[in-house]
Amino acid sequence: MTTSIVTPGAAPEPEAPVHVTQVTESVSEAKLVFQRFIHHKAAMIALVVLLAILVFALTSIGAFGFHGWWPLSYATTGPVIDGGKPTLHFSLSPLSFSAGEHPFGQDDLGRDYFAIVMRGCQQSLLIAVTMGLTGTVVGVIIGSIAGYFRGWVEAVLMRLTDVVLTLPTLVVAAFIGRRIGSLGVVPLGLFLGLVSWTSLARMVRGQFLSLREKEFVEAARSVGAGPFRIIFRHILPNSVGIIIVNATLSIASAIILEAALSFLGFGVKPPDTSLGQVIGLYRQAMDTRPWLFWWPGLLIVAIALTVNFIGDGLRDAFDPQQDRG
Amino acid sequence: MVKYILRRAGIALVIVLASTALSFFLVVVSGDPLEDLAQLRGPEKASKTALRTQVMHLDKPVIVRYGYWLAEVGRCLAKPFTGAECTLGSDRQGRAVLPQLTQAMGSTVRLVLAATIIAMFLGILVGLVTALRQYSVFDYATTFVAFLCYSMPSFWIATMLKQYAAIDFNNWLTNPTIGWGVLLAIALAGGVIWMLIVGGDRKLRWMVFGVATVATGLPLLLLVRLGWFSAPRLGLIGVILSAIVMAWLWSTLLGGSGKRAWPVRKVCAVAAGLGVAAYLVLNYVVGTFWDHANEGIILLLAAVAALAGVAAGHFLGGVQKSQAMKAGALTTVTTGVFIVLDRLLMAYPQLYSQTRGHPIATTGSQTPNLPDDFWFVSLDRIAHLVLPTAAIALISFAGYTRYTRATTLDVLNQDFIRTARSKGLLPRTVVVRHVFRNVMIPISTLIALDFAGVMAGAVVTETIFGWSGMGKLFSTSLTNVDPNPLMAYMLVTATLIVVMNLVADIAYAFLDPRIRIK
Repeated sequence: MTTSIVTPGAAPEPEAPVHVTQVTESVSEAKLVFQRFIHHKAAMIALVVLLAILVFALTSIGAFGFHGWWPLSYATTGPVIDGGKPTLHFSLSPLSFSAGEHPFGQDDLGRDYFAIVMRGCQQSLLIAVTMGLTGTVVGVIIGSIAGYFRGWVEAVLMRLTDVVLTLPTLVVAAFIGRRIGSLGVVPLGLFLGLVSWTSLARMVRGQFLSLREKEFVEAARSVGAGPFRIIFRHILPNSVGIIIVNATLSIASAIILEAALSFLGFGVKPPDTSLGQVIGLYRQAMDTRPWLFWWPGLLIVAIALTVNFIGDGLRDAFDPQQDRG
Repeated sequence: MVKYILRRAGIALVIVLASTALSFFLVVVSGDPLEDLAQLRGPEKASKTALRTQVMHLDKPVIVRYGYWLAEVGRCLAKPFTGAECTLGSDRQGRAVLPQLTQAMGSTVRLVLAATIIAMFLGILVGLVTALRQYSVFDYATTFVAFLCYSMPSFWIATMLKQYAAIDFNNWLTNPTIGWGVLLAIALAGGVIWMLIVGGDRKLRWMVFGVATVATGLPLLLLVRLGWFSAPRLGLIGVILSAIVMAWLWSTLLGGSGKRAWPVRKVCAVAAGLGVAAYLVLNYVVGTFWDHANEGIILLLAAVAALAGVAAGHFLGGVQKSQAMKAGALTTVTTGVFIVLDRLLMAYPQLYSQTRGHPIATTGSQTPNLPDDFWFVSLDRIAHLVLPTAAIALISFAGYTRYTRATTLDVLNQDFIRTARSKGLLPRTVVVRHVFRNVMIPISTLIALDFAGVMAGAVVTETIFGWSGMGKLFSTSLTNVDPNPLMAYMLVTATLIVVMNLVADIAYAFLDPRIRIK
């Protein structure tokens, strides 16, 4: 986050006299943020857990055409053994751990539930990341244009934001789910991202409204920088903190939104699977086979929780007023 | 000001128009409204298809159908002047939408209001305390719990509450006894929580821990031993105790302590006495009047109570008149809440037998075919509200806690707080008069924003708890590709959201003189 004015064509400043008495190592802003982030314990724990889940989900059943180390597929049916109970066994005294053939149990078609949940995890993460990134890009563009140009551009864009805000997500999702859901999870995430940028757009606009009046923007304008150069080179780098934090948090809420949509039957369609979809599918089995409900639910909570903690850590790291630890 | 409100209302109208048009289009193109007729054969199929095409105007383009819907809305708006029939259109079976909407609205409004109020109250309170005890164990624990609530899908919380909390609690209610181990655990937990909230040095911590442990465990033991959970009631003693606590709470919060607070304390004591007198009159003097009360009477009595409190403050408040009037009114009204609660609880044994020992309901919004008794019906509705409200409120609560905490920390760092402290004001006075008021300004916008989320949460939660409210109307209409009922839902929520945003903006300007409305 530089606030120095580096304008093209300006003659390079002569080297400022160095104060020899000062021995403090100079640290760039990005490095400071990074250091503050890695000292945030909760965020680091969350990051490790999230990475573990990610690696587990990707390597176990494989992805992008390579086969993982888990022998069973999420689509293969088979005989239901012992009512499909989980074979995962863990005890403290004596210390023992065994996964068994179906650690998370089986569903009513005899498919391995571990493989299903891992596949669901991949799909949910893919949708959430696509959705979060799309929403962030759209939100940043709309927010910065509205905040920089002001006037009627701002009025139109902000009213558009209000319209999208009052549009019930479920209506949009039903439309997307029925028309685009069959295309796969990436288009689903893309389209959901197209309606979930409103809060970021408002925030970025607020940031722009205050930053555009600052002296360094005035200086850039005075040497003839165009609006897009000012937006992308001068103001946006100064708003990168709230954008990154918001993108992270929007991924967490995307996981939950996807789960809710698939749960209601508007999101991912069978035979493909996602975490919310399997919970919705086996909602009635809660009494008799609770593990069908617990595993995907726990994973949703774990992913959303870790992402939220990472977002919180990032927020603290980007906050210049934060100087503890 | 008037010009500003009019302009905002005009813009709001355009937004509602655009967003209803967009939703109408999305619903219509999202699927095939004749899908369920595809299996039929022969003349039946042809006749049913023709009928539905006629009812839903399927032969007309989408924009014309939206025009028809707008005309229906216009007819409803014109009703007071022309007496036109107001139906908000009909669903695909030709039934009018408006009666369905009014029927569905009652339960949903109860749900949404209850969830919002509970989440707001607890969220702001907990957020304030965590900010005042920043970086304490209590702060970290609440942060974790808030993040956890935030990270749970509403349907997951709802299903869990239904499966575990409700069924286990109902089972416990059939035989309400507590083992010594559980009792001790609850008492210790209460002690630890209070110790963490109050904080302070080591001696104070241990003292708070001891007092809170006893104060949690002993009443619980007493209540269980006296069989209170089989026939819960506050009774005269309970009402007197609540009145005293309320009087103490409001006089301390608003009046401060020491000699200066004396007038306020006096007023609150009088107000509490008035509350207890009202309890005695209602229960023992006026006969069946109190048994046959209704919402209107309760609201009227609340207004009377507030007036009595204000009057007490006015005549006895002395130098602290304005504080005393507020504290007096708050004391009488909150004591009134306990009087109503007491009467509601009296209907509990009846509810218990009517529901065959499962008072906390897991499906529906009320038990059908109840006797016409206001208190019984209200208690039954509350019993149905408990779980869905908890499911929605938990998520909202997390948002309020985080937001209040952040805002409070922000305000605490301001210069005027330092000034207030350096003047020698009591920490409590600084918090109540200087911090709290400034925290409430941004929170007022959050309430409006949060409402949209709560409405969306209600759709999912109603599905799980089998409510036939607006959420049900919404999802059935969406599944059937039948736009009119959904548009009625949209009309209500979009209008509410826009109105709440407007109210929040105006409230913002009123609360904060630094903001000028142009």
